[in-house]
Amino acid sequence: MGEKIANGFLFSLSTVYLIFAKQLTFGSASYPKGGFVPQVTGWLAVFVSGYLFVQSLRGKGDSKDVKMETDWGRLALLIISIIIYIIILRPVGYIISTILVLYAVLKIGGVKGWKLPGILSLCTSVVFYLIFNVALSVPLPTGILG
Amino acid sequence: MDVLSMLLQGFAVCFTWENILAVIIGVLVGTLTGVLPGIGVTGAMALLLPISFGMDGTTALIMFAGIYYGAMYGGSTTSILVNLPGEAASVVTCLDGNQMAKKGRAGAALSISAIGSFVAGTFGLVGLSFFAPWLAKVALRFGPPEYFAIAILGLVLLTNLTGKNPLKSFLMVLVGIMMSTVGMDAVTGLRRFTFGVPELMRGFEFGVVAMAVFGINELFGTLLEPQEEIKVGKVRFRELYPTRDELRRSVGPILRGTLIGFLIGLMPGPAGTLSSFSSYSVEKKLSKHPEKFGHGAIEGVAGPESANNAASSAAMIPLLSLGLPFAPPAALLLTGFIVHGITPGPTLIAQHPDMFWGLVASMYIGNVFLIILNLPFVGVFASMLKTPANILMPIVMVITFTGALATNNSTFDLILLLILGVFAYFMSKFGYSMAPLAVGLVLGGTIETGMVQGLIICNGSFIELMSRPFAGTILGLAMIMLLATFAKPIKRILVHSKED
Repeated sequence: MGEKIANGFLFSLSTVYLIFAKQLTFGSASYPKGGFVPQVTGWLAVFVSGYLFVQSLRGKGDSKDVKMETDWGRLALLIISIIIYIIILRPVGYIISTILVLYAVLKIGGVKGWKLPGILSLCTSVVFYLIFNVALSVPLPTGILG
Repeated sequence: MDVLSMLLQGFAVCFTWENILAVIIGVLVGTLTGVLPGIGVTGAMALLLPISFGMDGTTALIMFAGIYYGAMYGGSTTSILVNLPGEAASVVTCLDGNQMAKKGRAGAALSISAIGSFVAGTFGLVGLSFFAPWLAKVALRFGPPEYFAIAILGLVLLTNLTGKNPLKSFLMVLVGIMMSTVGMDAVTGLRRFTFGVPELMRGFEFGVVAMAVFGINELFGTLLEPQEEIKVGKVRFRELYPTRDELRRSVGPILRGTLIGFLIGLMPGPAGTLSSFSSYSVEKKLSKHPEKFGHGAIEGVAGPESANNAASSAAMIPLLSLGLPFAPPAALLLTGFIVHGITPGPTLIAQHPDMFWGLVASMYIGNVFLIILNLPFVGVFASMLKTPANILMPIVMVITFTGALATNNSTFDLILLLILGVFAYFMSKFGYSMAPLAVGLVLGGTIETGMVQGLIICNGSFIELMSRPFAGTILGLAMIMLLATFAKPIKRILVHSKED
């Protein structure tokens, strides 16, 4: 099932890409314009992904024995944590948002207790802030601490 | 000036405290990358890319190169001690290396692996020192059609050599090229696939894409899937000496592995992995006792470990002399060059001799550092494996996101990192390799520019383009290989349509 979804997704992606590529001027084989490479690539991608998709629908895919050992609950939590991190990074600031996301990801990863993840989150955030912002002069959001 | 005097000049460039420190950091991070299974060499290089922004260009590139060849050394340690390859290129070392460890010969396997890596790495560098300037001189005569042809052949070869299914690899190359078309068209200035999003105008940043498909992908894999508990045995310094018989039996495999690795390293694709497997099969065929392979034959460690190190030196040649990266780590090195305002290619050696020869000299020095690091401190590196992945990977995640943010100070890059990371995680599960996508993204621009400018030079005629001797031969070869790849699916479709 998973391979069908993966191949179907790539087929859809290629098709959508080709639809938008068709809106660009193709030119000709002798004098290609901005749409030439996108359209040729799009057609090739639609053909190859379509073939792979049909093969997987017929049960002839090459990943039939792939077992998804992914813990879906933890995957969802991980993605949600990262999304929240991206949202709060600028308003809250680098240090606080990194402490929060790192603590959450350490807990999602199964680290027990609160002291170790707490200390690790705090130290890592401050150390990386000092490395990037102070030592390398990379501007990082200061948020409510700024 | 001849090669030797230029190389001496390179050593003079390299012997500053900043550059020596960059060599040490590079080979240390590389060795750790090789040792720790969760972090790949491309991911590690991508993570350190933003840190290099404030560095001098030569210093930054010296550090990146150190990570690349350092990872080849580190990969063997875990293969031998715990039967766990840190890098794909060290998978084959597990077969005999771990068997030797089980028989109490772990020290000998590690020292032969380090000696072989040093010899092969040094020979590879001698090849690089002489071959790259020669190729660069030849390439000065190349025009856009030749670059177009080499890039096409590179991608076709990569398709055939990566992953189990060439069609899936080809599709990933196409996805990479599709991504390279996003943003401002370099030839016509046309905006493509930007959908009014200003961040898409600059296209996909390779460093961010590499962090996502190699870094975040590995993070998800390590955090979300069950990990086996790793038990690491101790290796004492006095146990590192191989016997005279083991040394004698290793000489041939080391020399053959060096040659095989160097030749395969020149080709596009996963050169390290291919060269180590090729060397193993050659050694097995040449051996008077092939039945001993898989049961602790020293030849099965010496050959492959030498091969993957020679390959990593040779893989630099197309990048430094043509400006074409055929593997993801080389593509990251290219990004490193571009970030510091330098375009690698045939003119690199003439225009920036200090940078080129400084980089080559640093690799000689790095090889010496690696053998010093890897023999006495092998136990220390192996003990790093005890670091729980659920602690290490979240910290790596923070470096990745901070690095992506530092690239353009853009929240959009963080969103891209997450989306592409999730995409890569699921696609990797179903046999889609990310290396062709990364190389397709980098070479997509070369293909488009080479083709459009090539057609202008050739008066809009594909026949004239194909009639240029070098471009025509290379493109012809690429077409034959592409047709061979597609022959099977086309035949299947034709058979089905007849049946229907």
